[in-house]
Amino acid sequence: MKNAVVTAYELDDSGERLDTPVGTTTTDNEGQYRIELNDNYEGGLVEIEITVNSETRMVCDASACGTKGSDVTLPGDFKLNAIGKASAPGSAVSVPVTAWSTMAAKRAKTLVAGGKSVADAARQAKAEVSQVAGFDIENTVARDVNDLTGASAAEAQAAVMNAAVAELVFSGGENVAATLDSFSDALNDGSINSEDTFTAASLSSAVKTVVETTDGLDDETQESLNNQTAQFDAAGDNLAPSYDEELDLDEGATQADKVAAFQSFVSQFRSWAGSIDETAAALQDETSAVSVALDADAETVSDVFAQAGVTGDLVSKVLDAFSQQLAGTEGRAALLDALENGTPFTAPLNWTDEEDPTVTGTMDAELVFEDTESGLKATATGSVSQIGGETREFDLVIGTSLSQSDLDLTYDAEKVLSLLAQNNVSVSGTVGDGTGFDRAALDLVANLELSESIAGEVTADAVLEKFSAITLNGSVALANPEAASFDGEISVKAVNMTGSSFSALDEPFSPESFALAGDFTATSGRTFNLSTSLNSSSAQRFNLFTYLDYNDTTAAFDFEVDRAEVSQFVEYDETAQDFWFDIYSYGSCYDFDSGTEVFGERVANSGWYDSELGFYDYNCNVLDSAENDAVDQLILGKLETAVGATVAGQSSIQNVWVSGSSASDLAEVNADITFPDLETAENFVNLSFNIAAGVSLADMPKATAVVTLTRSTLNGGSVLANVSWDGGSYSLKVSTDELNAENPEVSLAFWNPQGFRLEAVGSETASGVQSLTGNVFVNGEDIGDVELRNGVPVITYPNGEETVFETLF
Amino acid sequence: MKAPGNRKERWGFGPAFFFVIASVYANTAPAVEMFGRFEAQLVSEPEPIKTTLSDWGSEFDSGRRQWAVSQAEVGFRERGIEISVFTRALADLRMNSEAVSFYGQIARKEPLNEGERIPVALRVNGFSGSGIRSGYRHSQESWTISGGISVFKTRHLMSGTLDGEFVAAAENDYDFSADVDYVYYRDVIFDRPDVEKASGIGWAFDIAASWQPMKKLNLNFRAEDLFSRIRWKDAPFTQAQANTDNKSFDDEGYAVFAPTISGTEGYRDTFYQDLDPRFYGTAQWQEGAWLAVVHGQYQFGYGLYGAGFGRTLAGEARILASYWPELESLRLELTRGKWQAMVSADEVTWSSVRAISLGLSYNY
Repeated sequence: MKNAVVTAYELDDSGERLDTPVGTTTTDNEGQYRIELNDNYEGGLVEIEITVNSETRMVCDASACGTKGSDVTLPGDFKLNAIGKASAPGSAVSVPVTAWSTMAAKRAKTLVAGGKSVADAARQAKAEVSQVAGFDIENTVARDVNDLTGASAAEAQAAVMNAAVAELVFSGGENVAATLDSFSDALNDGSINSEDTFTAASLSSAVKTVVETTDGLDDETQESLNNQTAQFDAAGDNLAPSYDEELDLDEGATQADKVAAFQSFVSQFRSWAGSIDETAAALQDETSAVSVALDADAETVSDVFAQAGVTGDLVSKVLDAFSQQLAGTEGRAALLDALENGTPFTAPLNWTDEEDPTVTGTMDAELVFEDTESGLKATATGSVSQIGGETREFDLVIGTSLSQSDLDLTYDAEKVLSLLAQNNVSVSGTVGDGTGFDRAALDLVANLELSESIAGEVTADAVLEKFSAITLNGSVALANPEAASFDGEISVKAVNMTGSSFSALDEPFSPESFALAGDFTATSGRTFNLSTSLNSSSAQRFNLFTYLDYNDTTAAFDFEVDRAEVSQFVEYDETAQDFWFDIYSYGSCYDFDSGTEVFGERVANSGWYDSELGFYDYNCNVLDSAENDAVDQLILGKLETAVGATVAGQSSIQNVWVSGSSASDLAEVNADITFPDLETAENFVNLSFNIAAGVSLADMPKATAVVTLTRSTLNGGSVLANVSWDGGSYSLKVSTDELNAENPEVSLAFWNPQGFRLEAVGSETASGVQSLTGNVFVNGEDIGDVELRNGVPVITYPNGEETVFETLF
Repeated sequence: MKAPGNRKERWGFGPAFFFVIASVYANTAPAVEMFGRFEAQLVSEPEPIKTTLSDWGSEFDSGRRQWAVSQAEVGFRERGIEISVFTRALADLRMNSEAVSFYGQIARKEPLNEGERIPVALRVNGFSGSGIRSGYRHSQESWTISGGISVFKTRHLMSGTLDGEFVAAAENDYDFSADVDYVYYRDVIFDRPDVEKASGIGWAFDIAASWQPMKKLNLNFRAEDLFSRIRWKDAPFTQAQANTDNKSFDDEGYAVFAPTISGTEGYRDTFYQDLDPRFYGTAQWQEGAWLAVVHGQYQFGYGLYGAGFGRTLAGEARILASYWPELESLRLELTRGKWQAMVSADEVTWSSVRAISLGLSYNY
């Protein structure tokens, strides 16, 4: 906020403001301020309030407030607060004042009203809100999300989280000040829950929206934000930060106090690590209660999605059948006729699986089109069965925002995009199993994103030219009759490729993200929450499907060439009008002269009609080394055009089959190519994978775990885990840039929201000498070191003339 | 390079200078007698010495003592006044036998008796030093008595205690808790880095007597480290607690001995280390060329005795053999003129030796 009024009030012991302000100033053009306290200041905590006057402008961080980065005016009752520390009259205060600090100020006053001292309440409130926001709200500078040049990871995260609040506040209605008040009141009772105007899920969604539209976020920030949103998703209806009174340190804490508190924190870490160890050991024992419970959970997940696969498979048979009926000009005419007369499309009675012709079934389905005010709508109803398998009944509505006049449609694989050209296609409805039991309920929206809008007529070519991404979002409920079920949200995004070097191998869409979150109910009745997401930040340059299909594996590479390019290797009567030939790997020809089989790397068989003799003649010849080399060069030349010189140069040819005949000027070449590792240090699958679960295992307090795995370099990455357990919240991060280095370095950090943090870096030389160095911090102050003694990590804390030490494990 | 006021350099140079002067003086004054001795003893009751040096505790079975003592001294004697320089080292480790047995069991991953509680009491004392002894010897026809005082600079401080308890939680699992309080020249338990070594000054008294009440009977007695003490300056110390609250298990499912430790390190401005006195006695009966001998020794709170026989040989040589039951050792002594040599061991193969002594003296 620029040119906003900043006023400082001293708080008394009951958290109330003293009448006379102890300082005033105005924010500058960067939204920063610095107040020097006047002589009225008596040494207590200070509350900073930022209010609005006619000159005040705020930089728009949200899509809902207008053009991002532009200035907007604010209502007169808009204000922000923060509680900060000062030392004496004349000292300065410049604590960040944001929606988060306002939330903390209100939480602190609620705690004071509950009997806590102002100082204790302020510390607790700051720790709790910092836990929700994912950054230190008191010590992190508020940066503009539209310009993160030079920002640290924490500052970048803070900018995103501030912008996410702006998304919530400015899309919450016209009364922005009231919406802000509701937001900042949310944590007064200690948790963000269904009684508040926003939920953890809406906060998660707002953060994800900001992340997608923000440039300059590095891997560390993205990883932290991924983990933060996964925590929000896993929290469900109750996001309750934790606070450990045992670790509370007031301003007068001595080094000895800090050391004792950190030792208590380390003791908690040991218990936490020990429980994980015990759990891992129990999981290895198949008969343990822990193992049995987890196996049952895994079986539930597997069973639910296996059943969903069957459902999707069967229903897609019907949709494929209808697609074929709607293809081509005849299909378009039938569609127009259906729209005019209400004539339904009827699916064929029988179906056969394309990949496995032995799998067959029947269907009895109808598709009815309707042109409504909101756009074209298609309703598919009926049933589909597999002989010897399952049956599904369905009632699905496919809605679009297309109008009848936009129709210029021929429904093939690419041109279905034109159906999405006007933005949304919704699919909703239920799928049952013929017994009256609903197997699936859907409410999904598919959205086509274009790099810019299409001017003029919407055609398939126009759509392909502008296509940048396709998304699918919505809710899904799956169930099977044994009472295992899933109820949650799904989100998928695929993007167009730019700058890929494997263009001939690439699928048209490159997966960028996948997210699934919801509640599973096991057959036993046990409910657990699971959310998972996968993000590929290099999706536009590196297609995950291409990687999975071709990386370091042997795959088919087929193409056509001029027949003459390959027929030169075949010995046959070139004057014959009717001939055929093929060349294949590792065969043999019978040598009539010697009466033996002659084996060769490649062998050519041919046949032709000899008009003089009046019958077909045949020949077999083994290709010599020069001819084999020529065939290799032909194939590798085509491969180089398809995938580039680097990949082609590292690929090798396995089996080859070439076929040609007098019927065509072209010959077919089918080659099995062993592809190399497609990734390079500059171009690799840059993935982030989140999984969040509520874990309730025998003999252990309930825990919520969120784990984010990020691959940020070719041979490096990090694991960030956040666990809320037994009243505490702990975060652990392990990372390395290069696992395969001669002396790989691994970084370790362990911290909690109350400012207790351990950082260390470990490595091992080729001769096996290990080293470990690091530091421990309390609220940013370095209070000790980490070192290795006899191969055991030890923390040392200088404390006057002595040193306190303890082993980490 | 020597620098003025460098006490360490001057102290080290002194005894050597002293020895040179004494040698010259000895050559010019026939009443001056040179003497010297070297003694070393290593004893390890719970396991062979070789194992203790390479993998301490891995073969513990029984017993409760380990010690190492060595001394080298050279000096001269004139008109009863003795002046000598010496260097010595001492290490004394005492444990309770139940802890020794139990530790050996867990080191070898043997099955434990569930529920068994084993107290642990470990004491260690050690140092090395070099200095000067001044004494007086008075001889009469049938008896000799001497006494002396030694002052020495010390290094390699090691002194402290470990008290705790093992509890066998299962056949393959145990709990351990202990308190440690020790001072050291090197932190052998917790591997504290960059330790500044302490320096100390020690003093000790000694007396010795020999008496021949009868022609055939000879009695000798020696007491060393009487009222002895070392005053250390800036002694590194660690006080710590260890426990196995957080445990891990190896691939065989046996608990791994890796206790969680916390404590305090620092330096003690002044630390006094007391040395236990040591007593030696010998009674020898000669009948013709044959000798019968009984030895007694008390050191580190342990009484040892040995008995044997010997014979005088031509050329005033004498050989003695004695057996020491507690150490299960055989000792051989050879005396010729003013020279005396001694060796003892309980085993012939080095890998099995638990007690070994060597000694050589001249005119002592």
